[in-house]
Amino acid sequence: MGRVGTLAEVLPACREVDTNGPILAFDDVHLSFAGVKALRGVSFEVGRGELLAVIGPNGAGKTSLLNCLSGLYRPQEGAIRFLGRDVARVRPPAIAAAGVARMFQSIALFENLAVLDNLMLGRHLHLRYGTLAALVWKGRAKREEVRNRAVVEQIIEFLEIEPYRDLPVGALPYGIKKRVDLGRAIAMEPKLLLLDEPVAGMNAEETQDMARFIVDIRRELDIAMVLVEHDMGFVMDLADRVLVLDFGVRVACGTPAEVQRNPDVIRAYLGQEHATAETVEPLQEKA
Amino acid sequence: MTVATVASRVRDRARTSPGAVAMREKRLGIWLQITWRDYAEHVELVAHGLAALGVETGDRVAIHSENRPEWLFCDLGAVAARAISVGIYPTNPAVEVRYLLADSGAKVLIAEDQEQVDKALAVKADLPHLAWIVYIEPRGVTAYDDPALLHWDDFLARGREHRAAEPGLVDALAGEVADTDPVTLVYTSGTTGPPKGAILTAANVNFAIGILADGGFYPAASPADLAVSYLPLAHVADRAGSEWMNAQCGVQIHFGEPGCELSQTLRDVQPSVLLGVPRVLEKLRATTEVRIASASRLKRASYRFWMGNAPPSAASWRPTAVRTRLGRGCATRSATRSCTARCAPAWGCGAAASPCREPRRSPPRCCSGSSGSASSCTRSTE
Repeated sequence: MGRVGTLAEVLPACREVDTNGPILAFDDVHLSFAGVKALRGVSFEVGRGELLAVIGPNGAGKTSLLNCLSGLYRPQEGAIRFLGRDVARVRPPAIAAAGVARMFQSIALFENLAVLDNLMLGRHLHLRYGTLAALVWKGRAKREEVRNRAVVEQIIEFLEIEPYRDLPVGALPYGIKKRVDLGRAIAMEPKLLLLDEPVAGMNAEETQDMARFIVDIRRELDIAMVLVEHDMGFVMDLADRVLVLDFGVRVACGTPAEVQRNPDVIRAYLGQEHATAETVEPLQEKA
Repeated sequence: MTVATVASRVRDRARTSPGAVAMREKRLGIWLQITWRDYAEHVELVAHGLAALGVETGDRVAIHSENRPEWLFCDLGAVAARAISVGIYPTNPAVEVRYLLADSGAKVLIAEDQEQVDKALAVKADLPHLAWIVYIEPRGVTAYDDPALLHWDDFLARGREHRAAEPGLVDALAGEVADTDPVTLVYTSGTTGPPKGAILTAANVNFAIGILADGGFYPAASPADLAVSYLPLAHVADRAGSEWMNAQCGVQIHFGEPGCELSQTLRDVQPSVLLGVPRVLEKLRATTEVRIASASRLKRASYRFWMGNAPPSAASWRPTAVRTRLGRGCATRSATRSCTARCAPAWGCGAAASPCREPRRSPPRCCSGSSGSASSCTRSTE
């Protein structure tokens, strides 16, 4: 311990994907709450190492889509295949154990626990010792704890949150909490990372930092990501492909450049009159 | 007679006490030790590495990094290679980096991480002398394909190869050092125009070390003393207080974690010597007083006892009370043996602390006076 390594060295499971097909595939997914149809036949795929951004006006179904994927909502129809296995009706813990980690829109950390403990909780899946071993604190329990602490320390170094290591999360500024949330997600060694509005409410510098962390995670871990975000500059810079939803319907899906030129997308954001606009500037201004 | 340099002092310490701790660095939450043997080895590898990159006597080597052991390795490695080191403040933006690199004509730049590499690459087209950029932290930089970039590990590997080919080079160069050899360029802050590089020769450094260590200004320091390096190493104050005092007196230098506040590092290290400018000491004192004001009655009473009746403003603060109290306290609690005092060094701005040790036969020595007055060194009497 002591040498700062790459994330790939400390989180090897992220790259252990034994399928040549897509990491994630939504196939004609329908979700409704009473009379409200949140998702209406949404289909898309995410390939290995790909960053897919999901955008759309408020109420378009973006977060519902992520909630279906993490098992919080159960779609009425359609299939969600993660690494070839249908997870549409699987419980959230089993989906997390299969390799899906998530950063929440409203930060879902343990406010009274220190940053370090929150990150160690992200390692819970990878701690391999029983209650008895934990009580006597010998042998495997101690070794496992040390090994996982080393992983967490590398994540702390990566996210540059060393000064906050021992502080309770509740006492931290918003931007730092978001980083801890991201840290806990990658501590799980996921094969698919879900990012729900990672830069909402952040200033320009915090947004740049978050963008840099996401770029570095992609470069070092090569994991697939699904990003939901309203900051169009952030989305267009980072995403490989963009999926546009409006009222639960897939409006468009393509590269950032294709989506920016798509008249249906401009109509969804700005209304009918602007549908002939050639550029995305008005779209960015609104966002 | 051979002229001693900071690099030769480190080499001598590595020969006499190779296993003793020269410095510590906090990485991944753990304090790691660097012995004199490790230190001298790295200095030698950097010297050979620089030679392998084509650095010759009198060439400039710029260092653009936060305080960390590699800063000292590079600075001393440059001295050992008879090159001239140039420190750049980590906060300097790209335009100032361009000015400093162009003005100094640096051939090699040691850049800490992607942030500093980006600044250098943005202005590299204007710098015909700059042949190599050695980066310490690879994160984000490995994707770049500029041929001038070289990772620290590869740089040291080149040093190893060069040492195998020319094993006696560093000793031979050490024998050639003259008093008039420039060893480092320290740039002024640039408040009254573009920064100007002050040339410090081997004799200048030796004179300063003589005044600081043997001339009685700096508290008589020993290898048992602990100090924290946190002021920018590009400035001469920390270079003297940390790097030179470390080499001359063996004071153990500590580098805290990136981004951590000084108070956190101080709590970890419990230093016996603290070099600080008045601003830093005032800030520490203000933070302490704010926290004490909301502490329990017992803690407030304890604070008042040890600190004397601390006056409200720093201007009227006399260090005697602190020293007297702490001096008395040291006899019973050797663990807390540091105290601070405002002072002004005779050769520049800055302030030093006087360590209290036990047993004490003579009164503690301290330079006191208003900051900025160079001639107000007094000896305290208890």
